[in-house]
Amino acid sequence: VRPKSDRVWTIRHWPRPLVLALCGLLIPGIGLVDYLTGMEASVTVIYLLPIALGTWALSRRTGLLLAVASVLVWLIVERIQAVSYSHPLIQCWNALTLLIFFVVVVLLVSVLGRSYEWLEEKVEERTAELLSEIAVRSKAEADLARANAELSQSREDLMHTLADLRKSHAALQDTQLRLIQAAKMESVGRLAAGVAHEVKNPLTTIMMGIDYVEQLPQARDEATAGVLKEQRDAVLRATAIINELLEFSTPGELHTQPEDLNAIIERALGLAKYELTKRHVVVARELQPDLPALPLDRNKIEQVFVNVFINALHAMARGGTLTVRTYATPAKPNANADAAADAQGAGQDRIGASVEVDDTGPGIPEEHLVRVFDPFFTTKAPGKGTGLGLSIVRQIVHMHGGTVDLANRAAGGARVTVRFFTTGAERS
Amino acid sequence: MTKKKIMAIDDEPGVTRLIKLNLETTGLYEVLAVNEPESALAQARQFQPDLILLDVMMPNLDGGEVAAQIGADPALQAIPIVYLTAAVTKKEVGPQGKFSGGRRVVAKPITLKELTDCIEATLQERGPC
Repeated sequence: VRPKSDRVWTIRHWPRPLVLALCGLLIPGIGLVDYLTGMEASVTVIYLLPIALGTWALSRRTGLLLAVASVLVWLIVERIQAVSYSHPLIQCWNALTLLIFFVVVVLLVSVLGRSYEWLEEKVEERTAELLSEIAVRSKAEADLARANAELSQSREDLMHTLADLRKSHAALQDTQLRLIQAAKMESVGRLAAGVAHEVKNPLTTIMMGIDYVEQLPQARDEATAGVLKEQRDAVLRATAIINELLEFSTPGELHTQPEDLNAIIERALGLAKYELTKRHVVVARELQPDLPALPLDRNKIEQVFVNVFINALHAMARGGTLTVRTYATPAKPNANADAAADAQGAGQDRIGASVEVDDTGPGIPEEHLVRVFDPFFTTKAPGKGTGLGLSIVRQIVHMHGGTVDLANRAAGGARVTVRFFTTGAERS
Repeated sequence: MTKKKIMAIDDEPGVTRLIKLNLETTGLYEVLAVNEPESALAQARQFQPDLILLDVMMPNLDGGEVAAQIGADPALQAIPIVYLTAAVTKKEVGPQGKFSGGRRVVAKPITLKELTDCIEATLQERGPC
């Protein structure tokens, strides 16, 4: 229902005593004016004003009473004026006619009032219905908004869960790959140790046999000496392969101490100098001078970079440029030791170092990129490589807690990126 | 000049045969080849070598056990023993070998020159053996 404050303030809402007093004053007032001015008969309709007011504002009964009162006042005024045709019977007849007229008016006003009330009730009912519908709709909208919010939240939760699941799946895949890799490496290690032992004994026999034959007089002619030299070279090559296998399967312990990474790289470049010169490869150094000292096994890291450089050289058959770049890098996230280093004032960006080795060769075919660190994977001609060089690189770098990646560069050629962290060797 | 007596113990007959052939060809050594490590102690007592070349990984009795038996014999314990093994690389021990646990360890395969250098160096040192 519409609140009272919202209702239109009409004459029907006037206070009852006020309306009665107004009507009570109007009727004698009109009679007095009638007496003083001698109004025309037609003007007597002015009495309808209080009658209609009383009927409309109060009730039909009040209207009838006011009609009777008006007729009585009119009759009294008529009697006092004593007009020429004022025969009592005629006056009574006129009064009766007037009363009937007033009563009809009262009835009409009353009907109009009731219709007005009925309409007003209907309007109020409809308004109440509309307000109720609006309230229901508002509630439904609020419910819908809440449901939407819950749905959005659920969707967000679902997306988070999905992202977590994807992350877990990726981590699981990584772990699985590492497990497969570890199992493979273990098999390779066992195989390598066995092969090394079984092959080295026959190699010893062959080597000693060559030594023996070389001392015989028949070995002094040029052809025999050439054959024996080739045999010796073959034994030495086979021995080198076996030694690589052994090294791969039993990399030994790390003997780390704080090292200058740039100095190790310079020594590795020195070791590869002969090959660099022979293959007409120019070295471009971009070494950051103030790298943090890193806990490294100098000999093993030298071996890492010699392998990386030789691998890059083999990709540049017609010469080229070997770019070696070093720079400080942020430490691994979530490493407690890194936090300790920060607490001691070491900048987070100073506690690791990266090395990039770029070649200007043809790059690595995409399908080979995932296998380059696999043991025995090689794209070189048979007898030209064991496929263990980069495997050993990765093994040694991992022993230091570092990472190694190989990727093609947009400008052409390949890039090997090796990263070391101050906490890597401590963990290993 | 008295020839140095070398005892070569290896389960691989080809290895001991070639060691014997090569060393004896130099005219400086007399070599006894032993392919059954179980009989090494008895043969050593009989042969009384100046130096023993000993393989490490052998079936039934490995080089370490043979060395322990020889070291426990008062008549033999002063004889220097050189381990000749495929378990190490030249990169690890160098061409002349490396002392480990008081004994020289040499990597296979080995050339005649490396072997004679090693034998001579060990015979001159004698100390740790």
